[in-house]
Amino acid sequence: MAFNASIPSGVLRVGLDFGSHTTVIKVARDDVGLEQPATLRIPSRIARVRGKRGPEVVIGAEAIARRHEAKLVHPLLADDPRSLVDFGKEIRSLLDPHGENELWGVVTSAHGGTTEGLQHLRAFAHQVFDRTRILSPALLMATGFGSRDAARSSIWIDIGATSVRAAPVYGGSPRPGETMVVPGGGNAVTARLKEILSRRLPDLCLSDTTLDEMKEDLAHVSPASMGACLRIAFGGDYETVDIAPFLRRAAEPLAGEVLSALHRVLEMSPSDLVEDLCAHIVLAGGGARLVGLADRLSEEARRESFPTASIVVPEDPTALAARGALHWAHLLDEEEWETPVFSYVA
Amino acid sequence: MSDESRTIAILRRFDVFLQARLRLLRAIGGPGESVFIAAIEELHRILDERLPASRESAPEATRIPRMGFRQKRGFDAVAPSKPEETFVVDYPREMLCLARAGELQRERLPARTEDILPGGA
Repeated sequence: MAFNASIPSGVLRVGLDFGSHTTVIKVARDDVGLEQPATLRIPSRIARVRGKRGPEVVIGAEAIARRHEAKLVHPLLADDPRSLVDFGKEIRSLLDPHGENELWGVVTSAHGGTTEGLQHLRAFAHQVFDRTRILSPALLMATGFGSRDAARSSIWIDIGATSVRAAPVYGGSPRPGETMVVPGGGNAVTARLKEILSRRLPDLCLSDTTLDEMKEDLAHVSPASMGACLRIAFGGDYETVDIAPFLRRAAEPLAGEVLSALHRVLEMSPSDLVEDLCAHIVLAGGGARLVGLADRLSEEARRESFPTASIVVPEDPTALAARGALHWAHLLDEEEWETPVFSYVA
Repeated sequence: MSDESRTIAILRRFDVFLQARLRLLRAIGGPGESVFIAAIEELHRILDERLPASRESAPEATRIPRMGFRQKRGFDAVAPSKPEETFVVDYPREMLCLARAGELQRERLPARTEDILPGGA
């Protein structure tokens, strides 16, 4: 049963958030709860490996697992546009392996903020979907959160891999110039961790992917405190190193980046809205899972004369934008979709 | 002995591994790259065979599940109380990943490692 009767049956509606780190996809045939949306999380990585029948393209977790065989590439950041094309093709074949469905997808990405980023995003969307629509991540997060109060007046902070993006939402998408971007984010934490480890344990060489995984599992900021060990295995032997202080030092500046983005949004917002906006500050993106971050930000924001500040992290902060995109995929009328004329040609 | 110096000690113990790492480094991007990738894979198999963990010397290591070329995160069998606090890296395989990614740079090799290699680096 389709929520929007104007869309023909046989169309699979999809919400897709093309992140620097992970591409999150939500799929459901209806939007009235008859079918629980399926969620796919595909690390945004692609690799070209040697298969049994010749060269093969692998994406996501498989590409990461086989990174000893070939170089890992981020499709949005690659110099070679073939990576973006191939990544799109693979996503399409995952969503519709037998070519039976028409795919209509609402797409978003933090990379869509620039003209070039938007071009790439549109090219990717046209590769995957038969009809598409690109919408602002903040609007989609507000929709995906499912709270009317939060959707009406709130601040959305997306802690992504390459930056921290904050935007106020009051009555629709953030207007041009209202989204504040602070460079940094998760990749900067990984870079700091790499630098600290190379200084303290100079014999140890770790790949960025491994450092990323280590950070995701164990990084934290005060007031949280937890033990964290790195076990270096050689064949059957191993050595264990306490890395908790290194992880804390690498992650701490992220709190400052988020606060900086928040301050800039509040400075730009109408003064009569500040109190309402502060009452619904939502953290999303992979960085929102950093242990201790929400408590730390609440403390700091209240200390800095925002006594009503309430910072929440949704249950699944990484899927918020994709969930909102799926809602919109069911809400849009047929004439509101873009119809791709050309697929992307490298 | 501090954690850091113990780590250095264990790294030094595997001279053969370090030599292969440097040979691999020299070959990256050159015609011999695939040969040395194969060599380091072979080396890893040798390390597995020649250095079987004994329960006396490394009781936990025997329980490290072999997961192909992936890192195994967490140790359900070893530390059931806080499995999320341990991150395991299979170091020889990590070297392979670094080589493939083009990240195994000469400047990342510590001077002392180069010193112990025949003929210097």
